[in-house]
Amino acid sequence: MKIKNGIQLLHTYLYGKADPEQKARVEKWYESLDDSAEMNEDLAAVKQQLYERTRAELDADSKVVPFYKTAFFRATAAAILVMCMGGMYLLIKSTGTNNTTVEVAPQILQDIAAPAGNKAVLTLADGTTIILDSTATGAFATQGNATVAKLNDGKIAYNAAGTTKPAVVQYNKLSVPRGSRPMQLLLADGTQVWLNVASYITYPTTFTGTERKVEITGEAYFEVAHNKSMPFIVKRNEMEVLVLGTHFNVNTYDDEELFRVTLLEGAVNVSDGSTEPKAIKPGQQATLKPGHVKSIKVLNNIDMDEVMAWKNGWFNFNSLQVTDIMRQIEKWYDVDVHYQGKPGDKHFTGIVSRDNNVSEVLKIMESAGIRFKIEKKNITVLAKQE
Amino acid sequence: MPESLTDKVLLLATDEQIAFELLYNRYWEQLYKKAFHRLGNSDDAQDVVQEVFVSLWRNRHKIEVENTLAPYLFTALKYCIISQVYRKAKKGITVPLSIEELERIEVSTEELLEFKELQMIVNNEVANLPDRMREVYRLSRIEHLQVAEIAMRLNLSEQTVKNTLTIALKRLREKLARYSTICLFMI
Repeated sequence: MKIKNGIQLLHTYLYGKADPEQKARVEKWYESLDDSAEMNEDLAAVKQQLYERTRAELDADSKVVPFYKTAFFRATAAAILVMCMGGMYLLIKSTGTNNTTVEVAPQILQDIAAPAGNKAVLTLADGTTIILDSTATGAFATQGNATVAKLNDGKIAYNAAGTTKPAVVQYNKLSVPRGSRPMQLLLADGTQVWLNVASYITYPTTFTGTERKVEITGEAYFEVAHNKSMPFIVKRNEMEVLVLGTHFNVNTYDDEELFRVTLLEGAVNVSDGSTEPKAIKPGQQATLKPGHVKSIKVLNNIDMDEVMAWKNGWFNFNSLQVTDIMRQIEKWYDVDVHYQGKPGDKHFTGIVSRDNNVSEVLKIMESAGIRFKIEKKNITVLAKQE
Repeated sequence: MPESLTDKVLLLATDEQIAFELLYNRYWEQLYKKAFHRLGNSDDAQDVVQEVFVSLWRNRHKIEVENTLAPYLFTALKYCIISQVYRKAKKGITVPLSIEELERIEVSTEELLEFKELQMIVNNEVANLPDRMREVYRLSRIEHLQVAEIAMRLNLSEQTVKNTLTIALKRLREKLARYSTICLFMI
């Protein structure tokens, strides 16, 4: 059978469904280029770079348990759900007092789009700042023993060359401002970090000594490379999360009442220096009230989809008040939120893609009679008139 | 570790870091050049070569090779490159190995005959293998089963399956060597 369309032919070939004639065509085409043609390339540099990135992927392999399964299934499940509903949100439920609904004309005249790109900034040990979005892929800096590179998928990766210890441990800082997409970071030990919007992390460029310690503000998800002899510690003020190799999410925004550490796989210890560290198991969440001693609590049966929604591209509101939701909106859409009157204590539940304009997210609350006014980068929540 | 070691020995060497580096040094340039000429830029070329080496290393205990890894690596590279071209074409991106050229390319009757003939030669040689050997070869190469699965199905030890497969491949290579190197990519 003769296939005219090249794309279709390749599809047939790649799925092993090509007949001999089709196979022969694709293979003749594949071999039709001249392999001996000159290349204007620094082959020695390519050799080194390619070796390092391949080695880094293999090393990460042997240390980190793949995350794909759960992430993939959750994302797919969520996507299918949304497609089934054919719309933006799945479920809108409002509970609480005062359920008199009034028809209101929509107040949204302007709209604000979701962040299109990444605005992450890297601060090197000497204080130089680098806007990562405009940096070309490939290695762009050397920090002590480590090369810093931007990979094709936009991820920033540290690669420690050699085994000699650096004279001084150097620290870098990665910041993701408001109104930016999350950023992925591969540390020199193979640990992977996803940094949420309005967050930053400070970390050594190579890990030496008896522990691997990083400090964060805001929210990050970690897949820590296993290393029994060098525990990994995530620090935020008085809180320390100690791990050996595992997957967990840390939410420590300043404008939230509690710090939350949620465990997906493995085991971690959470401490605040005032009591014995508390061990948590997968599916549990430790909360800690910043500035208070002995405030660590362990919660069971945590909804992981809700906790990890940010990383998978969703807003997942599970019985949240208007103010809780607006705090998430402020960071993602980089807006300032104002209140006119009291927003009330209704609770809202809903799932919306983070790619939507802000108006789609606000619809979840509008259906319960709450109105919003958008002016440039300001959103005013208008309390319902009694 | 001496550089004179064969690919097969390196694949199973216990000092995996050094073994990997030696194999990398042996093949990276040929693979990279082939990828670069087809994809047209260093980033994409590095992506596919990385994919090939990573998959080689992840599967190194499952791969059955005669002495050289070249057929395995170049076949893997071909699939990686073609799927990369396919993905790009769907987005409307053109690379040197272009869809337009694919749509233009014609296979002459002689070429097709030669191709079919080569496939037939391979099939014939496979058919000439002793029953047990042919069955092991078929399960491994056509059904892509792991050695452990084949061993279970045929009620053999894993070592026997490995040995049988090695002998089968060796026999096929010897028989096919006089035809064309293309045949070696087919088994």
